[in-house]
Amino acid sequence: MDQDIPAVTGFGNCTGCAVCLLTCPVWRRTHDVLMTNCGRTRSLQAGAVPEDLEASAEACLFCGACAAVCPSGVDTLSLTAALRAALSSKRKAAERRRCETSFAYAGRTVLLPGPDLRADALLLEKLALLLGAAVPPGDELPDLAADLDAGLRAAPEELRAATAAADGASAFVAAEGFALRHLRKWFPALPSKGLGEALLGSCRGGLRHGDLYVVDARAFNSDRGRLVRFYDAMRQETGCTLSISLQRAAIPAGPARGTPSADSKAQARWVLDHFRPRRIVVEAPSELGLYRMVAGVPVLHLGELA
Amino acid sequence: MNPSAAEPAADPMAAESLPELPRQQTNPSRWNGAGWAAFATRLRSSGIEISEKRPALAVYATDSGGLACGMPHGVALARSTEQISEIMKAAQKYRVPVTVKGGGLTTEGETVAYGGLLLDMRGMSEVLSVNKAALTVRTQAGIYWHSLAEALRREGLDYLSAPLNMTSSVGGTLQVGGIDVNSPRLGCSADQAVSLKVVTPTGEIKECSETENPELFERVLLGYGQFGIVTEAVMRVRPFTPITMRYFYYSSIVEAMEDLKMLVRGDAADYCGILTIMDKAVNLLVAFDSDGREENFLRTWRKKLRGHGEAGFALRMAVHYALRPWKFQEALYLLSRKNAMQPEFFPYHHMEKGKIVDRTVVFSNAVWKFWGGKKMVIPDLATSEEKFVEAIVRGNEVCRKYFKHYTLYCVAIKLRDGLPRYELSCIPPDARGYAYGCEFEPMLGDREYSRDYLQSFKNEIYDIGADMKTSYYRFGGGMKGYIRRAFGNELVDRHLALKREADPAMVLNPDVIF
Repeated sequence: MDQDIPAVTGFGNCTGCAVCLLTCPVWRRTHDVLMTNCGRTRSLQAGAVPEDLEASAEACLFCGACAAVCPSGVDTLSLTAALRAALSSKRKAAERRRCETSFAYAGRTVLLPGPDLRADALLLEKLALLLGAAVPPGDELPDLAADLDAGLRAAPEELRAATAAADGASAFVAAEGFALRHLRKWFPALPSKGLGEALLGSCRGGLRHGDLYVVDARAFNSDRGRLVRFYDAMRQETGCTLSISLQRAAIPAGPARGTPSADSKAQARWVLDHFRPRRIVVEAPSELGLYRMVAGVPVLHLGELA
Repeated sequence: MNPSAAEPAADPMAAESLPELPRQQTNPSRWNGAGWAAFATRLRSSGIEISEKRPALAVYATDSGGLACGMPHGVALARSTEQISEIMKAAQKYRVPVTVKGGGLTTEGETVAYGGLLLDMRGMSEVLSVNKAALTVRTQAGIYWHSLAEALRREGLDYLSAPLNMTSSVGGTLQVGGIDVNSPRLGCSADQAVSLKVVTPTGEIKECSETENPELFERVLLGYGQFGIVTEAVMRVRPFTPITMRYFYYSSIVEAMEDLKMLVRGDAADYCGILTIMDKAVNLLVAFDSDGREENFLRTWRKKLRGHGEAGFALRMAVHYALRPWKFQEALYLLSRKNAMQPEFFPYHHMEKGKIVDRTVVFSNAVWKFWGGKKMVIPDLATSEEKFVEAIVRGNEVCRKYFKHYTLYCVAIKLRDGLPRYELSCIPPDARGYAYGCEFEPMLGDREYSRDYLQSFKNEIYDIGADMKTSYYRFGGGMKGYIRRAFGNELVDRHLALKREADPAMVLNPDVIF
């Protein structure tokens, strides 16, 4: 990890309109503006320093719903990542397994599963087959993305090694939507998609009226302008209901990784409230277990529809 | 008319002003903090959380206008009616000012605390129950209209009328009015309230409606937060319907205003209002909840309108500017603004079969995208039907004098004549049947304007109102110096006496009206 702390910038453009609150899962839970991006920017504008906002920056789920709807175009995720980075002197770098070898992907699509999908070997195998994708032996790229979102800084050589290891890939499919923002930056010439967009070509035929389709919020919000059209067409074609909000942003039920908390369950129940679906189809492997816990109806992963 | 000639020498609402100088603006002074420590200690001993940390206070340093700045001594998140009752009892005892904030979409500092406690009502943002048979919803008052709409949508319902801006809170809106483009049919948001749960300035918890504690109900609605804190509201709702929208373009604001009045009188559309780009491109928008209403409009009213469709208007403007080549920059501005704005009013992801399915989102996003900013001044005039056109023409002249680019937003509001709540409110005393309102909003952009310049602009707009005896939507906060000029001493003194009776320590929302 290097020692350059990124400057906390970009908060000056926030007008305080609070439109971002309308999609923020932390706001929905706390109703405390200081715990949201809006609170952080307003507080910074009035002279707060990163140390003042540690609890707020840590609470963010990094779903990107705020960035997707901000009328002033504030890059809220970068801002929060910079705040976390400014506070990261207290953190220890995550233990990452260094990738020592490059894999010969030879023009293949690479599926980056992340720990939740990797834990379900059968599903992982099925998805790789459906996508015709290679699966790397480790999760270095998504781990690196997770660390950057957490405010940990990657040394240039570490980033170079991780990206070089993926040399030859023709496209990426990330099972963890948060990785897409970074993949598009690291590999600007290669298409990077979430699981939903990648699988819906072959799996949409299994969707039907009465299904509630839970999109991977982080993947959706990372390219909302384009995906809102893609998913709307899918909804109209299949008759399923989408889990996205009135603002057409997607709100996750919990953190991208880790055990679902009581808050995650409450959020999932809010997503389901009043929909009364016959079946739930989930994109993000990390949300599969959560919805199975709270839904009371069959919950499938999208890939299981094929 | 020289306004100072008709005024008393000293303005009792601006005690800090020099007695011989007529005031047009009142800048609140910061409360001195006496009693704060004891007040905070008492509340904390009751388990009420108060944050005095600077980062938490800083969030509340200004309102949407961005020009009024002040810091509270502490901030409390509203959590229950009982908690707010405790706060108000302690505030009376220790004489601590309490400023209540919901969405904070004021522009004159009405939701800025100049010391004392800031009570953030958004901590109470839950929908409590929906009665589909009676078509009512009971909700906590800190909720954003957008969040309410989201909850109602899942029931197949929608609110009646609400501000175009979806980050307004329900409680705040009910206390100032709430104007929608369907207000010509449905009235203001305050008139949708069936009953309220209110904490009085002395901390009593009361339910009120037109039949229960009706005096309190009428004082709190449109009461600018002077007579109580609304913690819960029961409001009328309706079945959700997508809407179709049509636009007609005018180059004359007078013709557009006259046509708006004609449509309002004839109940020709479910929604109508005017939005302009300066006074060059005046857009009369109409919208419909049903195909039948739209068909009737096209059959009966369309031919009476003097506005053009987009193609016809574009042709006229092309000819107009071809003959005036020295105005090409103005033409470019109109074109670029229109090209940027139009897709926002028909966003594909909020449309279905040619209808807008999320008007609350579409309008509000457009409001923030095209009219929002870190600093906003939005003086307005609220008039009777008879005075409407003259007031707008005069206001437009003031806009032209001060700013290169600006917008006028005009709507009508259906009234339930004779309601006490309309006294000392945005509803002009001489309005019958309908009131009309117009906001004059300069496009400030990134250009820096001095406060004096912006204040002079506002004063000139408000002077029109004082001269024509109109009312204003935003007459509180920094513009409260106009209250006596607008409403007269007798009415203001009567309300001041009511306020003193209800709020002996005068601590609830100080500097907003009194």
